[in-house]
Amino acid sequence: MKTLLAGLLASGCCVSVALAQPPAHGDAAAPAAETGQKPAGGHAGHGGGRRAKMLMLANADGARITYWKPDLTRMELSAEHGHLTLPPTGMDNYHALVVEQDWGPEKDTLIRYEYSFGKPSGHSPAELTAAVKTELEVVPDPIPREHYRYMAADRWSFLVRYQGQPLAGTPVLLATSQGSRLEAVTDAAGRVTFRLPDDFPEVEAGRENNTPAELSVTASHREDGLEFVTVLTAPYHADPAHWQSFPTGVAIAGAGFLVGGLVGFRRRHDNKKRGSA
Amino acid sequence: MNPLTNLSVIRRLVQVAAFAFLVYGSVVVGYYTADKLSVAFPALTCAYDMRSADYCTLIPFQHQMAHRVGESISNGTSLLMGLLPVVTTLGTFLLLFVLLNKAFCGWICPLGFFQELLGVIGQKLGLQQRESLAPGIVDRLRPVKWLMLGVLVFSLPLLSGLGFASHDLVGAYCAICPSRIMTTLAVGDTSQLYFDSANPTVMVLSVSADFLFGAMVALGLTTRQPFCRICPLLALHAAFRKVGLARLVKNPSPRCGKCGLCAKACPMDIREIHTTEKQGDITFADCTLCGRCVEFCPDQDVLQLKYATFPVFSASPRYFKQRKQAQKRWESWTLRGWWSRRRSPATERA
Ligand code: SF4
Ligand code: SF4
Ligand code: SF4
Repeated sequence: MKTLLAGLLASGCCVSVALAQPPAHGDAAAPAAETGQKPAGGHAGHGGGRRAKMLMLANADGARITYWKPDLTRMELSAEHGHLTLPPTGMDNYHALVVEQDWGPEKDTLIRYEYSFGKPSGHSPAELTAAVKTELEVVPDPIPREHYRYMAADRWSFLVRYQGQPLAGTPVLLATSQGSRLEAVTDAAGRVTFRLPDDFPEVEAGRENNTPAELSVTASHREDGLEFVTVLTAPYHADPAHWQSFPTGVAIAGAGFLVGGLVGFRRRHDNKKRGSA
Repeated sequence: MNPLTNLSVIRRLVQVAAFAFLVYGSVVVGYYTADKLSVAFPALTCAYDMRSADYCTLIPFQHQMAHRVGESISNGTSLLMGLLPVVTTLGTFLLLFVLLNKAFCGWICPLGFFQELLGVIGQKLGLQQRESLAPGIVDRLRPVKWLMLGVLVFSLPLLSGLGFASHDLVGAYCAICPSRIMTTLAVGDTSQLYFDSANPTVMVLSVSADFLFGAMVALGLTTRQPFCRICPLLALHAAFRKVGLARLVKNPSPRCGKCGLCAKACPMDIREIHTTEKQGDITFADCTLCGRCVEFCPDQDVLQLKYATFPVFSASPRYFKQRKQAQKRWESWTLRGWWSRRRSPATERA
């Protein structure tokens, strides 16, 4: 278990951090069709996004853990017995958790963007993703906006950056906790695009009935005899197309169109009759 | 008439710019601008559109009713803390709303513009346009917007937060909002036009949304602003219309009684513009401050659009005459007419 990454992979899951608490959201958060996981047995708990969040972090003894707030101020955190508490910052929007492990010849980094609720930060998450947080980074480009999230079968792009500069021609691996693996190579702008695997083994109808899975995007780079390995982790959700039908939606809209057209036509007709009477 | 002195043309240009900004704006100003802008926009511009540059105030209202007010009551925590975000949203909405008042509808709203566009398409296709709805229908439709606001935006999300209604009703209004379908389709995203089979609640909501959208498109081809008449934002605007700086002002003239051209021109069929004898601010609950009534009023300064106390645009006989001619010319060209003109000389030749 030489590296942070290896240790994390050995933990039985492709990703290192696992939410110990279902994601929750607050006021200006996701619309009904986009709401976070429903805590078992009730509606309470959506204010949880304002409270401390607990993450499990494996194999991170001695790692440097930095928590970036939306305004780019930072705080150092430490894990205890593999548990990491993300304190509420009172600020709304994405925060970045950066775990750096220096093994000497190899430097591993794990980055995870966590949405935390609070007062509007007045800062765009683009500033947070643009900030150089460590040498080698996989950057969501773009990061899902507040009414969206990573969903299976959607296409999403990532940038690979070394010291703030895009890295072209770098192999990138996207792996999911459900066993899918996709590989791609960054283009001249350092960007890769993946269609997220639609690999949920059993999909139930309704978003809240499907627990999100985890994805990781990994890249490595060698420079001055040092090996940098970086992984971005994020939850992703089942594709709603499993229980939502576009063709039926079109058909219903078509029915609405016909009825609307008929109402419009009949009214004109009545009008004419009234007019001629 | 010089198109640049035509208020309707100016308004269209503003609407096109606003549509581009509010539906596709993130392309220009960045994907995340919506985070930094108001999130309390006084017009239906949609949060579900991933290219938008700002979004409508109804979405935070619904979520705050459910997750802050509802949950603070059911958890027994301070109601005041639960209400605070709602008050903040209302404050932000009012800050913006004061600037343009109901002109957010007539000049800025993407869904309002879309419906006007449907009207133009219908007219150009040669479909016979409906001048005004019958007063009876107008009167029956008027309370619906308050129901939409009270039930779908405030009550159902609150009941959901309290645990008395399905969790799927947190965004009850968004779930049926035609702007959600229109704006997402406008950016090439078909994910919001769906039939959801997950449970009976979402089934009913998705069927209502799709049906309403289809019906709005069809009605929009022949009838002016079909959805606006029941739009919850129209009601929210109506509640605060006295604080806005833009307003419709009337200086009634004795000739009004025999005229009524303003009411005919009004896309919201507000016949009271014609009948009211009130002097001063007459911005009615359903008004969108589009200014058409002012354009089609033939009498000097009887109707005016004012910003605070400054007249911005006033009725005048000269403008009326030119505008009427311009309207006639605009309406005279239709695809159907063009087609029959094209065919008849051919027939004659044959
Ligand atoms: S669905 Fe309608 S109400 Fe909801 S955010 Fe979009 S425009 Fe506003
Ligand atoms: S009333 Fe019409 S113009 Fe006004 S917000 Fe609603 S849809 Fe838009
Ligand atoms: S009253 Fe005048 S300004 Fe208001 S909606 Fe009707 S035509 Fe437009």
